[in-house]
Amino acid sequence: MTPRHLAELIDRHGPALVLYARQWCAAPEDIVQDAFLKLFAQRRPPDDPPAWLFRVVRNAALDAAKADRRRQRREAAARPGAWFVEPDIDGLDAEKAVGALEQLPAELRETIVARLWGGLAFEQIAAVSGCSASSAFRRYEAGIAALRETLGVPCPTDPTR
Amino acid sequence: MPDRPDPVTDRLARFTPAAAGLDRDALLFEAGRRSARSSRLWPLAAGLLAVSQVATLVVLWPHEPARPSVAPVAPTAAPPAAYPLPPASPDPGLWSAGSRPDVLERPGAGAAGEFVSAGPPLTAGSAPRFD
Repeated sequence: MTPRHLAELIDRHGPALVLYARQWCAAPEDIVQDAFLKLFAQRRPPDDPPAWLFRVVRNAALDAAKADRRRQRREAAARPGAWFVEPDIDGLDAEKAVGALEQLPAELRETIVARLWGGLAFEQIAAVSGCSASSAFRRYEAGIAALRETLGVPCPTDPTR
Repeated sequence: MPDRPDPVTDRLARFTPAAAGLDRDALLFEAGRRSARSSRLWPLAAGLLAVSQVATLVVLWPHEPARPSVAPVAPTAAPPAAYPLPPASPDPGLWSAGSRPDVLERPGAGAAGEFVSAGPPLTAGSAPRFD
């Protein structure tokens, strides 16, 4: 693992990893930073560094959430989430999108974040989440359907709406 | 399992995740700092040198010469009055380590006996006589 390779991974996956960790813990940047440092310290780099990073971030964020759930809630309330940079995209308000994402069950939200912003394939999501690729796909579809319902956007393939 | 085009996913995916707290340069610096192998040799060498310096200082520190201590003299005990002499040899002709020097009393020893004083024997406590 060269510094240049690490820098590329940070640029490409850092923000998505922060968003991914933000689902569970109040200090996602620390979790992501530790994950990158662990990756750089590996004697033998993993075969799939993005999936490895998502798995490490997921485990660390879950541990952090278990360790200090009360502090997490307090800090999350103290700084309401700036999940995204843009305030809105084509009329879709960021706060509304965040609210819709927060309403999702954790496993659906995790899958959507890993897919939409992490760019992981369903096989990679399956390896990270500990499920099958078909389960990951079903979770993704169910999550998108729930988002569509919450945001009031009709399904493009549904002629009834 | 390709994704179908969907206005919701298209718009959601265009949001950029905020990661203001993630500083790439600081992260690279920290990664480089941690990758540097820390050696414990130099702290050990520095500790040994410090100990040797202290030991040298203690050994070479100028000390005052030791003064001889004067112990109080205890009163000497009085010498024994007289030591018992061993018994005379049963055979006057037989010499032994403990036999009395009675050779002067044997006949033929007159030449030596004339040097013996007739008075009481001279001891350490006897008064000098000038007669």
